[in-house]
Amino acid sequence: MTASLHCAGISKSLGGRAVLSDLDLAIKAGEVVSLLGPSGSGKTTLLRSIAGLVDPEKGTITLGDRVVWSEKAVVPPEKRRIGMVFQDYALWPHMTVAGNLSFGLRSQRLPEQEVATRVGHALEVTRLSPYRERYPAELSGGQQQRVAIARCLAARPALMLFDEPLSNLDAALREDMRIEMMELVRREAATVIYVTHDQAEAMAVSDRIAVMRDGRIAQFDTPRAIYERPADCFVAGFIGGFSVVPGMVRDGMFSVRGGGADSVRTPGAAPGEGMLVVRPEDACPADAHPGNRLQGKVLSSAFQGRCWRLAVELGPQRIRLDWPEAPPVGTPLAFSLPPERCIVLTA
Amino acid sequence: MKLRTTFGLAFGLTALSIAAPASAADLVLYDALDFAGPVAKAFQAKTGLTVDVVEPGSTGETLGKIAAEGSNPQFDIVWLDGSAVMERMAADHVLQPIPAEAYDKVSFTDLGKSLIPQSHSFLPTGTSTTAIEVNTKKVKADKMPKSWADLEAFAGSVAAKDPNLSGPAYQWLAGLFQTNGVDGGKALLAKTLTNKSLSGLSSGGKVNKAVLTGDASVGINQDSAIFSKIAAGEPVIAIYPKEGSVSLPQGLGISAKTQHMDAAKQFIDFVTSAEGQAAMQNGDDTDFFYIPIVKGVNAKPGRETNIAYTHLDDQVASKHETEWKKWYKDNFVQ
Amino acid sequence: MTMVQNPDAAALAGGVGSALNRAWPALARYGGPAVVYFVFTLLIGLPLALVLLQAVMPGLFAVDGATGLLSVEPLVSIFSSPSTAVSILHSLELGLLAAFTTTLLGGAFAVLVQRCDIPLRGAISAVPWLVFLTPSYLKALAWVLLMSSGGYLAQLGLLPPALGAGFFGLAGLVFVHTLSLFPLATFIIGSALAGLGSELEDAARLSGAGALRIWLRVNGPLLAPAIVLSFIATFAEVLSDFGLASTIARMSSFGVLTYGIYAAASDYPVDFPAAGAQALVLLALVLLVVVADRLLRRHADPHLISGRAKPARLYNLGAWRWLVLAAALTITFLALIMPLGAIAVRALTSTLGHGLEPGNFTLANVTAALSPYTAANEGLVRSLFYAGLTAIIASTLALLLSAQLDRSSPVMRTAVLGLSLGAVAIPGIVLGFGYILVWNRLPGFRDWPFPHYGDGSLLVMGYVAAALPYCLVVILSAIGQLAPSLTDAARLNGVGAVRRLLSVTLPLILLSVVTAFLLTFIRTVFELPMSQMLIPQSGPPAPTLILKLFSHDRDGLACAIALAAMAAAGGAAALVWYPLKRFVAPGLRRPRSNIASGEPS
Repeated sequence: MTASLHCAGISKSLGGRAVLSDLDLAIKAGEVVSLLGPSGSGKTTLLRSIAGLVDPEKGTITLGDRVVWSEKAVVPPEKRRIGMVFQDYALWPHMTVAGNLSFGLRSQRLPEQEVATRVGHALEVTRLSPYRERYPAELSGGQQQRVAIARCLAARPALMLFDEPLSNLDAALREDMRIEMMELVRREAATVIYVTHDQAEAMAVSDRIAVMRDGRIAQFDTPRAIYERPADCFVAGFIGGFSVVPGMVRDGMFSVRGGGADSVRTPGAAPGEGMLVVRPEDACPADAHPGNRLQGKVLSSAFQGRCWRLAVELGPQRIRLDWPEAPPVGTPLAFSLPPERCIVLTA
Repeated sequence: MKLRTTFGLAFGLTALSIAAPASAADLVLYDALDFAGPVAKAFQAKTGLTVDVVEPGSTGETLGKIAAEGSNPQFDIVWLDGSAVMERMAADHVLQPIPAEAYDKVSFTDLGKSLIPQSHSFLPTGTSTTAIEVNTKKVKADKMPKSWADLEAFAGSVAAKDPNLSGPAYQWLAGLFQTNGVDGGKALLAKTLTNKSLSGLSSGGKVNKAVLTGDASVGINQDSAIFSKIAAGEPVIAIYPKEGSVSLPQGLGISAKTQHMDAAKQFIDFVTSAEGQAAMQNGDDTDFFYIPIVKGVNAKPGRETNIAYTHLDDQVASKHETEWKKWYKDNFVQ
Repeated sequence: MTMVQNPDAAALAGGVGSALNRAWPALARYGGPAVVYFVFTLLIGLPLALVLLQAVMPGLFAVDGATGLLSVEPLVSIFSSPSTAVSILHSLELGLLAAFTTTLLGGAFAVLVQRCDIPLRGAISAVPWLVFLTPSYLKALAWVLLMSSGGYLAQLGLLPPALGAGFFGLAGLVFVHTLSLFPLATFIIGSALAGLGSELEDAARLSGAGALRIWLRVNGPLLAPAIVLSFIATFAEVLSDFGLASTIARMSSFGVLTYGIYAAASDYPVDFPAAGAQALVLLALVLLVVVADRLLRRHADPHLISGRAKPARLYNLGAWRWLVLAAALTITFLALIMPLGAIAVRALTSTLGHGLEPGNFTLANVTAALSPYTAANEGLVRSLFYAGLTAIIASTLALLLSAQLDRSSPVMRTAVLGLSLGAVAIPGIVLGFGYILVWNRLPGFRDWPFPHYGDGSLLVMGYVAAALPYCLVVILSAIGQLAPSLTDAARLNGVGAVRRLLSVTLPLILLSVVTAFLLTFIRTVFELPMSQMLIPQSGPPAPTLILKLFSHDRDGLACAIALAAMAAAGGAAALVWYPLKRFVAPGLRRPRSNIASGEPS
């Protein structure tokens, strides 16, 4: 039921602007991949191209061993066996929950017995059985979301697409829904592409993340690898909380541009202009790494439970640091960064 | 798939509208005469031949339709007021000459005989003329006009039809120019028709309305229209001008392209028969009050038939038609 | 050579399938627009082109041998004729003035109905619809009955002679046009107002702006596109109107272009070149305004106000609301009750001259209109049948085209909306004239696909052409309010195009489709110019009959037919509308909030 996906050389422009340019993406069967990027990076267009709702201009899209789109052959979306959970859920408001689930199955002329089995199963795993005769408008946001997933599951697609499925839920519900959703997906061993602009969500759900920028894939790797080794400033800047500080590397030492005499040791960094990646949780007391000390000024602080998130002025730059206490605003702050965590990216 | 379905549905729906197939009647009649419907019905009852009666509205509208159909006329018979336009259609080969024996079969009165065109472009079925319509509530008995020239006294309050839109109105205009002279007629009208909102009306009904509502005190109107109003109890009378009246024959023409010549001939025979003439009087509207031109047929009660006619020189009238219509339009319309 | 791209498919089927698949993107990209253009060309473009061509090729349809010689003579002659020049000026003057007053009244009515807390709001909001559905020539005839110097108002002593005289001229025309067209402005401005909501206004109030300032600086500029659209639409309507042109304007010797076209086309021989040239001038004027608007608002953001209704608060007018109510009721009285009353009285009396005298009342006219096998009754039944058929075809066609269009590019949608609006501006008389030329004179069309001319089917086709633009606007805007993801979801669930349309789109926009259906039905029962030009050989439809009776001075019977037709059309519409609304409303009102909840990224 579940299939691999291979996109090769996909290009698409809208109104003269290239939205996707020569993009490649390969996903293994059963893998959960997030498309992460700012709006306008082409992630939704890519998703809709895979679904068949948008036709690319060049390239091939192969689902399993079947070419679903090329310049020569096009499989229309209704024949691709791809399921999608829409941002607004796209539940048909004039059909009951059961109706929403069975409508597509009946359209494909599946035997009634089979339809009943699949609908029953999907409702059961999503804990929606008591609501089967309700109309979507009579359900809460979370329940509507589950109906959308159940509809997708009932169709047993080769590939499931999620288009920012949590963005319409309140924060409290979002994490619960995310966990529940991914449990379901993992249990069904579905291949999933998950579009989001929230890196925390992407990190939480994915086997691998494809960070997109200007219609290309900037980095495609596991969440951990991306966190540890962002490929470039763009990726680093997009991973939440990271601060990127411009400066100069000389003899393995990085000095912040306009930041006075302070410098930090960055083993293996190439000499020349560079950008230092500062992860908030890497901030240590000044004496932990005496050779890697930096001095800044506290601009603001926000309580985050197990620590305080400080905004610190470092020369003309601002960086974010996690700190065990909240020094008064305006006071100087000395801190150090572990040398092995200091990555310098080329500018 | 989607496209095929769209096409299919669209054509299916269009096909739905074929529900009523194109006319399969034995005769198609274009007319602008009130009695055409009853006559067609009586004809159908008698002969079993079916007639489609097409009445787009006024004479002008009917003519417009015929003109738009041009060299592909869709009627078999056309039946209208006005001889000049019939001549013109015959000249354009839209109509074919009426067979000579059709005239011979009818016992026309002298008036009727005088109306038979040399070209045989149409068969006269009856006639009427133009008279002065006076609202008796508005005009005192001693102020009644007696001639076209007297209308000058009602300047600004005279309703008239636009000859550009009405065949009978053109024949009146040409008649006036004949009796009063072209220059005299033009001068008279220039002094009389000073209210453009009354002098360019499109139908006899509108002249009636103008006179009945009092917008105009007098109107220049087809006399049968006036008699139908008198019969309906409206306070108007018809006065025939002492200059003399020009006859306005109702003509029946046969399409040059007809496929139903036999049926058309039968229709002509019926119209000129006693039964046909009775059907032509079986109603209360304007045209039912025509002047019969077949011996032994009397007009509807109340309809004046003792009228002093003057014969219109058709040659002169049709020679100046475009010029005089334009003159009227430029001076009295809009 | 054939590359079988789909390994699942068997060799033969695969060959065919992949050929189809290969054609798919091209079909999807060009097929939809092609269908749309085909429909528009056949129904509107071709007939119009033939009429306009005559302005430069005067010999095209000459009876004695057609020639395709180009000539500027017709255009020169209409511009050098003083009466045509005057009628162009008159048309412009009337169009601009009436568009201004109509937009003003319609806009005020929209604000009143949508945003003011007045008594009887529900009933008053139905008024524009009722006014919109009564045909303009009937209202014009009613006003003639009321205002002429021997008419009802004069008989009742309510009409000072000066006012009566002044009525038959520019003032009266603007008055009647405004009263009969203001619903159009109310609909256009009202829907923009609904899309605007109260949020921006609330923000302005919190920033300390007063009500006047808010309307001038916030709501006004945001509603400007709708106001301009309303101005253009009413300008085009007035310019292409024939109902008033052939009645009040005619009686006032206030010559306008449409009447000029009609006059040129109602003679033997028809002055084809003059008709074509005047039609050309008429369309050029409409086009000029549309283009001017495009140029002026080139940089305006069309998506400033979304199509979806946003919540709005009602103004509490306090004691003023009684005054406002009185104003609304006065408009209702003038625009609806007085004209209909005049028609009813005329239908129930035997002569106009004897007015409201008790002895003058009779049921003869109404009886004649309602007894079977009379010409009047047959015309009525015929019109109801044609109107029903037209409404089915036009609304279905509009639904199919809208579904096609919704898939195509925004450029295409704008183009079609523009075409539709343009088509609304084409006078029916010009289009009807074009239909005669296409289906009777153009070689190849006469018998394609079956003998058409003089048949009821051609009239129905003309009716469809006249109604399609309205239907498209109504249905397109309804589809525009649906989240596109609803049909996308169905596609991904393997639901084919037809089921998608029937099971997803149609149920959700059913009320709009029925609205389009009823609108078409009622307007077609009374459609005048097409009925006049394309009168079927099997017998005249009601509007032709009504006008013919009027011109034969049998306005009593004409009014009786009009009254019966209004009752029948209105009754039928109510029979469809109310049960349906009751049936659909509970299922649809709830989902509305849901549909609106998600904006696609």
